[in-house]
Amino acid sequence: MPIGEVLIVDDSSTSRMIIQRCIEMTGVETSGFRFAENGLEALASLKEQGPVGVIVTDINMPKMDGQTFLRLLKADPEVAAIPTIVVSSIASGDADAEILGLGAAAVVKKPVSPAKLALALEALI
Amino acid sequence: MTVASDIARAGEVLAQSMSSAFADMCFLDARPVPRATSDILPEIRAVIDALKPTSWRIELRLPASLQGRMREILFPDGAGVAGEEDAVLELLNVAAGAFLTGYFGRGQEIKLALPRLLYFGEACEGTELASFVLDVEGVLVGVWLYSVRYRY
Repeated sequence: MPIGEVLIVDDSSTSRMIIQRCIEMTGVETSGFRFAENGLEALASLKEQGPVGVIVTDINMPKMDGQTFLRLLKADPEVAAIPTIVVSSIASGDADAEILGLGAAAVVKKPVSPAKLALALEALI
Repeated sequence: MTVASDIARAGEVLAQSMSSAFADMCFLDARPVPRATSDILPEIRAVIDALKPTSWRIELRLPASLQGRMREILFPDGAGVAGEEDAVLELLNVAAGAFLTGYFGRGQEIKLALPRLLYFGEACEGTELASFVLDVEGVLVGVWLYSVRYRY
């Protein structure tokens, strides 16, 4: 089942590319990818270009970090329902719990892999 | 205060984290080798600061040739300088996250700053805790761990 367009939010162009490739390798059908370098750009993209099927976002970003982005996303009824996967280089039980408490669907530890993202995406389908 | 055994363990965990990052992200085999850090060609210098639960800095020094090799692997379609530099920074970010999690454990609050490059001989602040050399498929890479005292 296709998951629609995927918005990848990460200040690292390397990470954005890796995430996109990993998603493509999962075999999960998407209708394309959109990119943003931070939470601020991501919110602007959703406002200007409309909602997406899934969001994959980093946590540690300049201008607007992932936690703030997640809070604002879930506070906006037009985009609150978009399932969001958080990717992070830090594996911390408390941090993961906080992120899930903010409404993230899953937390995936970097480096991401097709297997890790497949698990997270399949739970959304 | 960090005792000698803690420092030795920190060095080991950092070496493992850095090796794993090279392997997982760039498919490059990286192994600690008994070489002097003065053997490194430090054309590229990247640092990342650990802000919690401790005030540490990790520095990575590598030759431009390895950065170029990483670019070829990660961006086979071609990428500009920004792509090359970003790959090193993201590798450092991933390695640092793994190191701090591995050293302090999942139950500890961990906070990292954004990674950045050092230019024009910019000095790296702090007291050196550990350093080692990795052989990344024939290319020597240096890694340093510093304790940094911040002034607020």
